[in-house]
Amino acid sequence: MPQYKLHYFDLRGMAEPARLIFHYAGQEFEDIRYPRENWPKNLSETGKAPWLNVDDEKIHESLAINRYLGKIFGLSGKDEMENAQIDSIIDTYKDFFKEAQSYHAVKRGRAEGNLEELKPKYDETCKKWYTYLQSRLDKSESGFIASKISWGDFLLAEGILTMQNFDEEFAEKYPKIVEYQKRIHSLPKIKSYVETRGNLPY
Amino acid sequence: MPQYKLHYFDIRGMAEPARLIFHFAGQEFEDLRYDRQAEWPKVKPTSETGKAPWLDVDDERIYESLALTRYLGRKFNLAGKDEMESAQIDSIVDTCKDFFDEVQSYLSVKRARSEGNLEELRPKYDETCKKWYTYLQSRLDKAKSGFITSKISWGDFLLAEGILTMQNFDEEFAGKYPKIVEYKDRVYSHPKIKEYIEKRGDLLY
Repeated sequence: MPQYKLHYFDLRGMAEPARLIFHYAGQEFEDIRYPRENWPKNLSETGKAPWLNVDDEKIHESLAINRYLGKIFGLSGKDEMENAQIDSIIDTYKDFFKEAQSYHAVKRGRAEGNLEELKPKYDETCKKWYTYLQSRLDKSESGFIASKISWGDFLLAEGILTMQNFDEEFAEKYPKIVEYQKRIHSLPKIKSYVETRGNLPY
Repeated sequence: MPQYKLHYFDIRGMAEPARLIFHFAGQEFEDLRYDRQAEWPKVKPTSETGKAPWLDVDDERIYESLALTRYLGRKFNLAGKDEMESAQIDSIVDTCKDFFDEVQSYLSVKRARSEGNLEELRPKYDETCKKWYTYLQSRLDKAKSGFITSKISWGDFLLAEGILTMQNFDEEFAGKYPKIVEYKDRVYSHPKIKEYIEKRGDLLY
C-alpha cells in the first residue's frame, strides 16, 4: 500500500473531498494541515495547496487529486462516459462556485462590496446552477450524479454545506439539494467522520 | 464506432485540443463551427450549460472542454501510461488554466476586446508568464520524453495550443521562451497531426 500525505490548510475547502475519499475507503493517510498565515509555500511546486504525496510522487491541483483517488478507490464512474459526466458537472460547478464565493466573501466581510447590489445576480446564478444540478440528479435516477456514489458527489456535498453556512435562506430555497447533501454525508462509510470532524464553515 | 460531433465556434480556443486528438487518431468527426453572430444566438439555448464546446458521442453529450478532451484522450490512448501519469496531465493542465485566467485581462486588452492600460498590466503579466513557463519547463525536464509525461498526450496538445496563442499576442514570447516554443513545435510536428496543423489556417485564438 502506498503512503499517502495530504497537504492543505485547516479548512474543508479544496481538500475535504479527498479526505472523504480516504475515510470512505478506510485508507490511512497523513492529514497535514498548515496554518493559513505564513504557511510553507515553498513546499508546493505551484505555490498552492492542496497537494498529495503518493510515496515519492506528488500530485498538485485538487481536482487532479480527487479524480486520481476516485479512480484508485472505486469512487469514479462505471465507465469513461460516466467519468466524463462527473468531470463535466464538476467543471460547470466550479464556474458557479467562483461566482457564489465572491458574494460570500463580501457577506463574510472578507471583501468589499454592496450586498444588496450583488444579491440579485447571486440569486440568479444559484438558481441556474441548482436547477441544472437537480436535472442531472433526476436524469441519473440513482440519487447521485452518476450511477453510483463518486468523488463528484463528495465535492458537491461539501459545497452545498458551505452554501448553507453562508446563506441562511438556502435550505428553504433548495430542499431537494439539501436532501442530496445529507444523503451523501450520512453514508455509513463516512457518517462518523462527518459527525466528528467539527463544523468548519468553509 | 460511435458518431462524434464537436460543437464550437470557428476558433481554436477550447476545442482545438479535441480536434487534434481526432486527427491524431485518424477518427472521423463532425467539426461543427457556429458563427458567433449569425448562428450562436439560436444554438445557445440548446446547450444545457449555455456554453460551448460540447461533444456528442452517439446519443450522449459531454459539456465542458476539459471533460470532453480528457474523455477523448483516454479513448484514444493519449492520457498517460497509468493513472498517476493521467493525474500529472490533469494537474499540469489545471495549473495552466489558472495561468491563463491570470493573463486573460492582459491578453484581452491586447486583443482590444476590453479596455485597460497595457503598461500597467504588463509587469504582472510578465511575472505570471515567467512563473508558469519556468514550472512547465521543470515538468518537461523531469519527464525527459520531450512531453509532459512519458509519451505525447492530450495535455501536450492543449499546452501547445496555448503556446501558439501566446506567440500570436506577444511578439517577445519566442525570444523569452525558446525551449517552450521548441516544445510546441515538437508537438505540432508529430507525423499524425503535422499535416492537419499545416493546413488548418492561422487562427489567432
